[in-house]
Amino acid sequence: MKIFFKCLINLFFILTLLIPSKSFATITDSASILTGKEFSELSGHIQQIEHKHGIKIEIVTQPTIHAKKIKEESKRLINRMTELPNSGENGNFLLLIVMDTRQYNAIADQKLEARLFDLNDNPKFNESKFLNALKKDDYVSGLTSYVDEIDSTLSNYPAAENNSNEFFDPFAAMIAIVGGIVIGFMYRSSLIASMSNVKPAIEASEYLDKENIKIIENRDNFLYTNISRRPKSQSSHGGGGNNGGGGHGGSF
Amino acid sequence: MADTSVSYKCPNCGAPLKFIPGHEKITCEHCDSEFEVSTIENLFRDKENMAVKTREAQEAKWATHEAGGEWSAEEEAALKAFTCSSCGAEIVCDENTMATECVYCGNPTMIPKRFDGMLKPDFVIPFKKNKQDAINSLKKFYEGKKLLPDAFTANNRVEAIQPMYVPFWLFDSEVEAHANFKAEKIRTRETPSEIIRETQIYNCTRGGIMKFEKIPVDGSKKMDDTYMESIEPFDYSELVPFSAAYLTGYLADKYDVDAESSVPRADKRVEQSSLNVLASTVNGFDSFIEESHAVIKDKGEVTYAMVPVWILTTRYEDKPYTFMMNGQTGKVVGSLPYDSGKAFKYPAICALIVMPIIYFIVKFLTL
Repeated sequence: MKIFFKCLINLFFILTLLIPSKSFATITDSASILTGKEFSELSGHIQQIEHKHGIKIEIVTQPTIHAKKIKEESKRLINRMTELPNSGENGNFLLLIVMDTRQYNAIADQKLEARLFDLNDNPKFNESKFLNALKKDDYVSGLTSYVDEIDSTLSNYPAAENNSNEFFDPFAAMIAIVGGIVIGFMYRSSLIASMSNVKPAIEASEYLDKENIKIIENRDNFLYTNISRRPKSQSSHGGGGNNGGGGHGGSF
Repeated sequence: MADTSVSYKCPNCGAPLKFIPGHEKITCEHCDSEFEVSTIENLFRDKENMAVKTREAQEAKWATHEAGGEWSAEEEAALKAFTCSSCGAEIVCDENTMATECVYCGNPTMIPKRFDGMLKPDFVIPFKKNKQDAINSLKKFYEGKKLLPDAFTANNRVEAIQPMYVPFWLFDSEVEAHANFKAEKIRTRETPSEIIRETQIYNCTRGGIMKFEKIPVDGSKKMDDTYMESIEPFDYSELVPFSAAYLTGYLADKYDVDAESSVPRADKRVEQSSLNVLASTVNGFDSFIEESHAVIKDKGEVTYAMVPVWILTTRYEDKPYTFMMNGQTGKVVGSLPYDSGKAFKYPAICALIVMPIIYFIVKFLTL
């Protein structure tokens, strides 16, 4: 009987390893800033927004992250999110709140960043309600207003969800204009050059007796070796992944 | 210009090299490169040899005195009056004209006094293309020139068409060329923390013997050198011994640039082609540059030939445009005017077509 239970326990242990880990928690409240009721109400609200937009939102509170930088830690966490099999189809968003330094950092992956942050990583939504609530230690109101702002921002950019490539791309336009002008000038130069075929003869290969060339000396002597070393550029993203996109943070 | 002396310089940075007593290697005090003594000895032995060869090359001469021959008494006798032998009118021409036609009766005329003291050509390439060929070839030359002003072709009339035998010096030479190239082999490898680029430097010594046959250099100041070089090449299989009979009916100039003065132009072309041949044998390297060279003429002969050229002149907006056609092969050379409006329009259309293509390519690549 003991052997049977041992086998049962081992089987359960192996199964827990084999089965893909459950989806990451919507809220990881390690700093315990939410009550149980607030936690479940906010989780339910977030799940509705996740379902509506096909995204994943994770809110993480930490009492401290010690010497780590909040941006690096946020990137590490969102990279972990994107690597999970049940990550958001249309993108992932993470809000990290660190209580000892009273700092927060919001970050979205590459799929979502253009919809939530501008080119300078400033949020496209209003954070004032969230910050005012956090300053008053009213965390549940702050977080609720934050996810509501994300919800309305994503609703205002529906076309971006699946057709982001249809937006006008100023970078591509600039390259196209410069490239077009350069090619135009090259074409103009070639057209003007084609108007004249008068050019000096700088060599006499047409008069060379090619069948009677004798190579009488052919030596290659090694002289020395130059070695140059260049350090590899380090990735600015935390963790092993590189899916972290734009982000924004501050203190409260 | 090739070096005729050698100074001992670091092959890496060019600073003067010194052998420091007590060291097994020669060290450059400037860049700290170290070289085996034997390596430096070999390198500079090559350079010393090259300097010696360069001095020899400068001393080598073309046998310019062998170009051309003397006019026979019969030939001089056959070249008749300075006045037209047909109508008696006086022939007006410049000091270099050997043959022309009478402006009054069109009779082909030789100017014998102009042959005094001058060399007789060794060869002549007879005209193969006639006046109509020249006009047709010029029209064909206009084809496909998108920037050609409409008024140029619409109102175009060839003002003058003249067939002329142009004096050319033909240089034969056999050369021994030597060159040193600095070549590089580049290898890049990566460690977890850095990218290491190793550049191996080699000194490549090349030498070769080659032969050039009849490099043409025009002997007329009146003819633009660049135009004359542009109508090349000539088919020398049709070169025939000179006879004054070939000049009748055509204009012909005697040379006013002698063979000796034409030598630098031939030498320059021989040198460049020899170096191209040697450079083509430097294989297996990522890049190389020529460091020094010497081209020694072992044999240099010059012959004097008359070459057929059609000269066509037209006018557009009061400016003359001259075209020249190789009277043997029919190759036309010249510079056409272009319409500034068209020079803006066509590139602008091209740019407008290309811009959206580039836009979508960039957008696709950055997705």
